[in-house]
Amino acid sequence: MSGRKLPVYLVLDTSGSMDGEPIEAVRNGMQTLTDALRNDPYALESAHLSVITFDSDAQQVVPLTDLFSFQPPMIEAGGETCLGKGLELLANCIETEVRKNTVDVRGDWKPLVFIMTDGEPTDVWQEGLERLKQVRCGVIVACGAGHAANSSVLKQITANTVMLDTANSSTISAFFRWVSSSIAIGSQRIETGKKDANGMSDFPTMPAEFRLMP
Amino acid sequence: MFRDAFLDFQKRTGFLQPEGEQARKFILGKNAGHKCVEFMYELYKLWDEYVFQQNKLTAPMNNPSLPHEQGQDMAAIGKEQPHSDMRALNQASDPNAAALEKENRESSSGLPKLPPAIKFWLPNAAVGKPYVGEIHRWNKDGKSPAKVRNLRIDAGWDLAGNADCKVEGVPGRAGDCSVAFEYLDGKNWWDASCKLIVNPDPCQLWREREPDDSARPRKEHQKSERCQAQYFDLLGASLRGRSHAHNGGFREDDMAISVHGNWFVMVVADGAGSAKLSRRGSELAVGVMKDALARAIAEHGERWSSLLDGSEETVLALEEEFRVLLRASAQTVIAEIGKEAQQAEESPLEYATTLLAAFGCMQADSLLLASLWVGDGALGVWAGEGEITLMGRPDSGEYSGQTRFLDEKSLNKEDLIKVARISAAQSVFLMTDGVSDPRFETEQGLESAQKWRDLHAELAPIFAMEAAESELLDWLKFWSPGNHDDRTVAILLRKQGI
Repeated sequence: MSGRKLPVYLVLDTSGSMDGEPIEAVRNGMQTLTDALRNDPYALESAHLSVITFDSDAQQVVPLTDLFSFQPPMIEAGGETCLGKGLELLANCIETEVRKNTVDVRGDWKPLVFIMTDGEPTDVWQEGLERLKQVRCGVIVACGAGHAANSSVLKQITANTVMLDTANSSTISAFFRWVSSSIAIGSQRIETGKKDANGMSDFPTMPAEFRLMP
Repeated sequence: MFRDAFLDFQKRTGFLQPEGEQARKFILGKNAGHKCVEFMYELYKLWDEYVFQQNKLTAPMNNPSLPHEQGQDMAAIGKEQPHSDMRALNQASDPNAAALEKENRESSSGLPKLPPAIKFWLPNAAVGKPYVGEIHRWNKDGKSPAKVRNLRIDAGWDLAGNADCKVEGVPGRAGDCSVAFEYLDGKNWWDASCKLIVNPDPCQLWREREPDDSARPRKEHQKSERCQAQYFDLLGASLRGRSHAHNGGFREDDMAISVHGNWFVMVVADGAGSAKLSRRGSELAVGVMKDALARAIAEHGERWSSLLDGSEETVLALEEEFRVLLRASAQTVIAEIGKEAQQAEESPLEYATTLLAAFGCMQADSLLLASLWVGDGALGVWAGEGEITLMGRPDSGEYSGQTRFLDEKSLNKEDLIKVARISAAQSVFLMTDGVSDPRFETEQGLESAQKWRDLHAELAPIFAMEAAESELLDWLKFWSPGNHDDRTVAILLRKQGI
C-alpha cells in the first residue's frame, strides 16, 4: 500500500432513539458503502475508514483501516446522545491517526468526516466542538436524521449540514449512498487533482430528500 | 430443570435477573437487543442439552430433537436431573453412547441453526492471492477464534476448509463468499455461516476510456522524443496516467526537448487537475519555454560556449545572464497563457501548471546546467558514486496535495532558479510528480543518493535499446499503488566512452 491515505471518519449516533429501523439502516448503509468503494479503484487504494459511535459515551469501534481489510462493525443502539464526546474522540483520533507532511513522511490527505445524528445532544457538545476545531479536516458533513435532530447545533459544527425529514431505511440508505460517492470522488480528486476537497461543491449532487441547510 | 438451567446460566455469564433500575438499564443499555438474543440462545442451548439427555435415557435410537418439538413434554419429564455431568457419566459407563452421540451430532442436517445475532468473522481475502483465514466469533469484547468443522464453500471460489478447519485457497473471483460450517459452542454443534469478503485486484479495476468526442482542446495520450548530440543522448516521454484513462480524461502533463550542438533544452510541466484547461496550460508552458530557450541558444550559444572556460568573473556574468533568461522565458510563458485565456474568455487560472525547465551545455569533461523549478516534481543531476545535485526544492504543504503553480508570484520564490557546473555529471533528470512521488515519496527521499542511483540504473539501459522512446513509455507504466497520475520524464545521459 502507498503511504498516503484518504482518511474518512464516520461519526454515528447510536443513542437509544436510533434503535430499530434507523440502526438497521445504518448497518446496511455501511455495508453498501464498503461494497461500493471496494469496487472503485481510486478508493480501494487510498481510502481508509474509521467508525466512531456515540451514545452515553463515545467509542472508536473501527480504527482507521484501509478498505482492503475494513469490515462494517457490529453496532447497537442504546443510551443518550453525547455528541460532544463523539467530536472530542474524533479530534483525538485524527490527531493520532492522520499523518502530516514532514521532511521524511509524505502526509495523508485531509480527512473527510461524516457525522450523523437523530437527536438533541445531551452533553456539553460545545466542548467537543472546541477540541475538534484544533485539528484540521478537509470537509465535515453533518447529517440530521429526523425531526428531532437539531439543525442549528449541526450548523455550528459545519457549514455543510443536511437534514433528512425522517430517519428511516430509505433516507438513511440514500445518505450512505451519497457518502460513498463523495468518498469515491474525494479519492479520485487526490489521484488526479492535486487538491483536497474543500467544500460541498466538490461533492456529488445530493438526492432530493436531503435538505441542505443554508 | 428450567430453573436449574437458568441458575447455571446466571453463574456462568454473570447475568442477573433485571429488576427496577437495573432492568431499565438493561433494556436501555447498549447491546440490549443483542444481550436478550444471547440470553435466549443460552437458554435454548441448555434446554436442547436437557432434551438430548432425556432422549438418550428414554429412547436411545432417537436423534436429538429441537426444543419446540418436544417442549410440551417438559412437565412429563418429571424429576429434575443434574444435567451438567450427565453426558460424561453416560460416556464413561457406556462406550456405545459416546459413539451414538458422535453419530447424532455429525449429521449436519439434524443440527440446529444458530440465531442470526451470533456473528462470525473472517479476515478479508484478495482475488488471486493465497489466503488462509480462521473463523472467529464476535463477542462483547471483540472476537476470538471459534471451534468449527465441516466447512462448506461453493466450488466457484477456489476456496475450501483445510485440515485445521481454516478457509484456504487462492480465491478465483472477487465478491462476498458465503462460508457454511458447524460451530461448537461449549458442548453442542450448530449450523452456522459467515461471510468472507474477497477484494478485487486493484490493477483489474482500472479501465481505459476515451475522452468525450466534443471535448476541446484535444491532446494525445502519450508523447515521446529522442535527440542525440556528440556527448549526450536526450530522451523524453509523457504518458496519460491510469486515473485519467479510467475516467476518460486527457493527459495533463507535457514535455519538450531539443538539441543545438552541445547545447540542450529540457522542459516538463504538470497541469493542475483542478483547472479545466490545464492540459493546454502545460502544453503551452513546455512549448513556449523550449522555444524561448532554443531561440536564445541559437542567438547566443556560440558566444556562451566561448565564455565557458573564461575567468571567474566572466563565468559569474554568464550565470547571471542565464538567470535573467530563465526568468524572462517563464514570464513569456505566463504572458502567452494570459493571451490565450483572454481569447478563450477563460481565467488564466484554468491553465494552471507547474514548470520544470533546464538548459545547458554538455562538454567532454563537464556539464553547465541552468534550471527553473516551479511546483512539485523533481530536477536533479546524477554524477555517479553517491553524488546527487538537486536543482531546487519541490513545494509542498502541511498535508499532501498542495503545490504551487506558475504565475508572477511564483517567480519570486527563493532558489527558483539555479545554475550549476558539475564535472562528472552522468545524467540529468526532469520529472513530474507522477514519477517523483512513487520513486522518491518524500523530500527526504529526494535527497537519497540510493534512490537516484536506482533510477539511473533502471533508465540508462533504455538508451541502448533500438526503440528507446517506446521503451521509456513502457517504463512509465510501472505499478505503484495509489500513484496513477500522469507521468512525464526527460533524461539526458552522457554518452559512455567519450
